[in-house]
Amino acid sequence: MSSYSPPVALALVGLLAMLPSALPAPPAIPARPATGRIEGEVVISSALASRRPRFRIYADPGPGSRPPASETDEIRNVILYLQNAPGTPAAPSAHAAMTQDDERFAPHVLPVLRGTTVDFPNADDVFHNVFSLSSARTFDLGRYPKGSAKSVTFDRSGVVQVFCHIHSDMSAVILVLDNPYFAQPARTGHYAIEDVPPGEYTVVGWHERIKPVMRTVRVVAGETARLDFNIPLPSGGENFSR
Amino acid sequence: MRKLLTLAVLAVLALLVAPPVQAQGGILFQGVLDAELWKTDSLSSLLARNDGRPGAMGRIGLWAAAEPWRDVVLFGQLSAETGPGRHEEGSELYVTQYGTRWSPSDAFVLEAGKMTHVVGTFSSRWLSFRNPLIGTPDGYSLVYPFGVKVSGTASIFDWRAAVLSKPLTHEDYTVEPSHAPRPAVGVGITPVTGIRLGASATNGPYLNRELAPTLLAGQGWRHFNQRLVAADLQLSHGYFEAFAELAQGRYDVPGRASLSGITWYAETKYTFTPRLYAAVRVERNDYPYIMPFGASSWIADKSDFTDAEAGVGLRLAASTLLKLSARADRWVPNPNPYAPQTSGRALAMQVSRTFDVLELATRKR
Repeated sequence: MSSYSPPVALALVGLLAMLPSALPAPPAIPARPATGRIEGEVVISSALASRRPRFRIYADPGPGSRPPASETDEIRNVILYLQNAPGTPAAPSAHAAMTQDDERFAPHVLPVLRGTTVDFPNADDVFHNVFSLSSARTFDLGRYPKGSAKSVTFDRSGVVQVFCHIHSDMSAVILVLDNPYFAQPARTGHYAIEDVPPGEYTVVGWHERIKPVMRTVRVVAGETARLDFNIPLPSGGENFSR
Repeated sequence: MRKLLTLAVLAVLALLVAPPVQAQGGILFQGVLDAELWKTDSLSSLLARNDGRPGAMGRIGLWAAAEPWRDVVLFGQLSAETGPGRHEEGSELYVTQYGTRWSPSDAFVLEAGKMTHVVGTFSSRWLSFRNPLIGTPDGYSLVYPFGVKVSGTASIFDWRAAVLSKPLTHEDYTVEPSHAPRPAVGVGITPVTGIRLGASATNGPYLNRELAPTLLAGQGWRHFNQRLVAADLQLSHGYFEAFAELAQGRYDVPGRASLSGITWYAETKYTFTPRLYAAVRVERNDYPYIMPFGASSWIADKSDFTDAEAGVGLRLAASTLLKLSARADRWVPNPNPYAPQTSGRALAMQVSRTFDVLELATRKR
């Protein structure tokens, strides 16, 4: 039977004590992400005429007497959002903006999270008077000139139609949503909704002139769910507003 | 006329209830529907309707435009109205405007066809969704002559020049004019956003070719001119806006000295809430009344009155507007028994709804 002398035993104990830190660390196993992703392509299925005649039947003389050419990229007016998502997100502190430029609202469709404040800057050489009578948010910002901006906070979800008292052919839509899981397709039609909690959802394809297109999708943590949309748009051009 | 009106109403109804169709691009087709209820004095020169009994009337305006080539627009507009509440009896269908417009740039727009007059700006605001009140200024009647017009805007300036077929006259004050070319010009300046000052002028014949030579003192009807000079102001600040126009006219009268007169109006509107506004318009009319009388003489006098209209507008929906207004005028007694001169009052209610025919045809399914 062998035995160690005390100094050797102490050295062995010390060596053993150092061993864990001396050995290389085992490779880290990546934490499983808690969210997934939805992406896909949006296709508008009818031939679009995005340009309406540059025309007003009656117009005051002077600046603003003629409407701008209405070149609308309709794919940008489509919004994809989750109908029912868990959680109650806090109102974002960053403002969104809808500009009055060349006698049009830009963007024409603005999706925001409930609680968002939207600025309405006037970039035109004429007065504008932004207003809405929608039940989700009624407001009237009065007339204000170039360089000015007024703001509205949208505390209720819903569709807010925005108009200008002075220029009856200006219109826009603010889509106030209950959750942050929404996306606006790129001009190519590609969209992606990021950081979606796992679960089964209804994804809504929204456009102001059609009944919403709904599709279900299952989101798995760490994976990307593929969901394409076909938006059957019946006619081209922008809405006549009042 | 009744058949035409019926056809127009049926066509609109067919469009409203038509099954969804694939709309073509490059086309605009819009309209406005008005329903009005009037209660006026029975003898008022300017305001009497339906012999003073309450009367309703309906009006539809439709306009369409197509752009077959870029910057070239073909357009047309018609209006039809019916009901005992009309200022005149019966029903009527007007083809108000049609023509073509070429807009290569903001600084140059060429238009040819039947169009609004160059002089005066109220004609651009008479449709119910642009006019804050229900009535219209008496001195600025709607005239749609044939013509060719060039117009444009550059920086703070705007301009328009035209050769038009008719003067700016009122059928109650002068004879229905025959077509004759006349020049008309207008300029404007917008020094700051919200203020525009404008001026316009025209000169040309205003009588009718059917008038007998004896009435014309042996001269041709084209020898008698109307010269019109007008100024206008538009002001807008916050929830307040104002319009004002003034026109001075001088008329050559057969066998008599020329006669001149002035008409002006000022209109203000204040928006209290998104749905509610109030508006007031005051008008002063000291304008020539020139009519043939008997076989060889003329009445040439001033129509001398002041009138005012006040009203409120309630926007029931984004496309639906309800207006209530009261109007009264006061005429200065005129020794000439043929000149209109009876004062009166009128109450009116109007509901108007704008619509886009293409949108209706392709609405959400």
